[in-house]
Amino acid sequence: MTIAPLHVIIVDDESSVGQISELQFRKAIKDGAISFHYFEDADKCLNYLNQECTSPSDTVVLTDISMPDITGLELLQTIKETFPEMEVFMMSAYSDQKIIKQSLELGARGYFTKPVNYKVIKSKIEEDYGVVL
Amino acid sequence: MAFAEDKAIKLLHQIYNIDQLLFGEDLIKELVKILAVTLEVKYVMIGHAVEPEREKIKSDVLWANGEFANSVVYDLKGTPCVNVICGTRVLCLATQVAASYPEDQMLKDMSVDSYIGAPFLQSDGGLLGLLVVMDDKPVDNKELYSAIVEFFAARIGTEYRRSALESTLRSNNENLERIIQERTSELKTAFENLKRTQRKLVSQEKLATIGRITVGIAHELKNPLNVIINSAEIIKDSLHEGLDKELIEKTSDMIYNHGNRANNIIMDMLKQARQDTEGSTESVDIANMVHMSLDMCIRSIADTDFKGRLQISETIPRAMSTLLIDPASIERAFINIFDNALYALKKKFQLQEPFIPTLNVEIIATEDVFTIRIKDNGIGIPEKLQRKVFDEFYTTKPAGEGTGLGLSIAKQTFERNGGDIRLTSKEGEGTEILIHLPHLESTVETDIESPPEPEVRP
Repeated sequence: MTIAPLHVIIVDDESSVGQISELQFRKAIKDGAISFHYFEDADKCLNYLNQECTSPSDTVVLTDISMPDITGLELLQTIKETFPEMEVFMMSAYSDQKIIKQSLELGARGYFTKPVNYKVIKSKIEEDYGVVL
Repeated sequence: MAFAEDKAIKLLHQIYNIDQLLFGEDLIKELVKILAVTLEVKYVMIGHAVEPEREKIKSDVLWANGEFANSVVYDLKGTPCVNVICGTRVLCLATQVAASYPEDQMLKDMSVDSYIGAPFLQSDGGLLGLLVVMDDKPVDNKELYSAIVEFFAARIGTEYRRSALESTLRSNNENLERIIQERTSELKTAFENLKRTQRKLVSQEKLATIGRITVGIAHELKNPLNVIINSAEIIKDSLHEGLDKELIEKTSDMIYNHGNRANNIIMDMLKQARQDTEGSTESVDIANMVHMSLDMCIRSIADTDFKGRLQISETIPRAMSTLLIDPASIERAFINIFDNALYALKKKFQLQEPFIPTLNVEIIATEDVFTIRIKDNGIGIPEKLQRKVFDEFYTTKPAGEGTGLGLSIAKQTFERNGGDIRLTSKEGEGTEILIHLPHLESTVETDIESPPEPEVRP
């Protein structure tokens, strides 16, 4: 019996963030606990979700806010409209209360300020999805 | 009678035959001396009543026994002088004076026999002083001597008044001069204060600009730090798993690259914070400067919705060097202009949907001039306010958001470099800024650091 892996999606216009995220999750990726995806913009992420996502409740999105074309907040809004059961976390260098509050009001599950602490992110995901990362 | 008149004229002529250039105290002394000699009398005195009691007389000039004597003060009481200072005309006591005024010991001591005294008056009729002629012999020509004493008392009175007016005039002049000096020094101080205030405001505007971009840039540092901190953590954690060469190479590359990125961000900040660049001329890559200023302003935008919508089009040639006076000021001028453009775009973005905020930046380089065009489709500036935008302290921004010095300093900075700045705008449609700067090639090869690769922006 195989357990469907948790889909972890990183959206950030800076590819280094995708790389460090992949490295931080490397053990869980290797063990098959998660399926890792990285997109450099919101549009690519939405395309993927619309075409490939079969279980929104087993998908978690971690997105940057400041990105060209579609911002992280707009991505969050679209995801919450299309896949209400999918959880979205914000990862941003912005730390002002206004943006944090706005994100949470739009339905973000959490908000991590850069530099982010992946140990905190992992334990949050473990807690929410019952996986070992 | 004919003889008497003749003698009188001779006498008057003798007395009055004095140096015409004498005036003031010298003239009065000379008159006293000549009076005594010509009239052949022992004593001639000019004096005044001592204020405020007016009970004593103090001599101003005294001639006694053929020479000038020291000043004396004597009580008026019981002297013939009382009658003189009370009246307005001459008093002549031809003989036996000492006997007529027994209380006056001085008359006795001086063996005075005859006395002729005449007052001289202020222009308002008040007493100014008196002229007294005394002798130990009786006066034989009472009428003539009285006339002479009265005449010279009047002349001396005129000299006293003239001297008084002269000294008033002099002190008025001195006062005037002092007032002028005081005013001049007050104005000088005020002018210096003004200059100091202006310098302070200019440096405050400098700091305000630096402050505005620093907030955005400091925050921008968090992105490379995010990569660096996490890369280091990955390396540390991987040590338990055995040596993964590929992983270490990848993460250490990231640390290296993002460390450099953080360094460049800080270098930009420091360049702006430098205070000592005034007056220095450097060869600068203007294309890179425009790009970096724009980049700094974009990075400092906090409104993510606006930032996401913003369309930037840069048509900037690569590596265009020119000599600039005070390059940090020029960069600040660009930052201020981009800041204004982004402000106008953001205002319109907040008011109007749908709206695509667009900023076009273009540099056209010819052999001798750079034309820098910065065009936004923001809120624009009402026509009647356009001529004011380069004025000092003029701002349309709410209190605390602008000093009103940005564009005025920018204009001065471009003009100091032999360039200019112009603005055309239409309310509601946008603003275009046109800057000209002379293209001056450096004659000396300067070892300038090659600028970092410009980031590709959508």
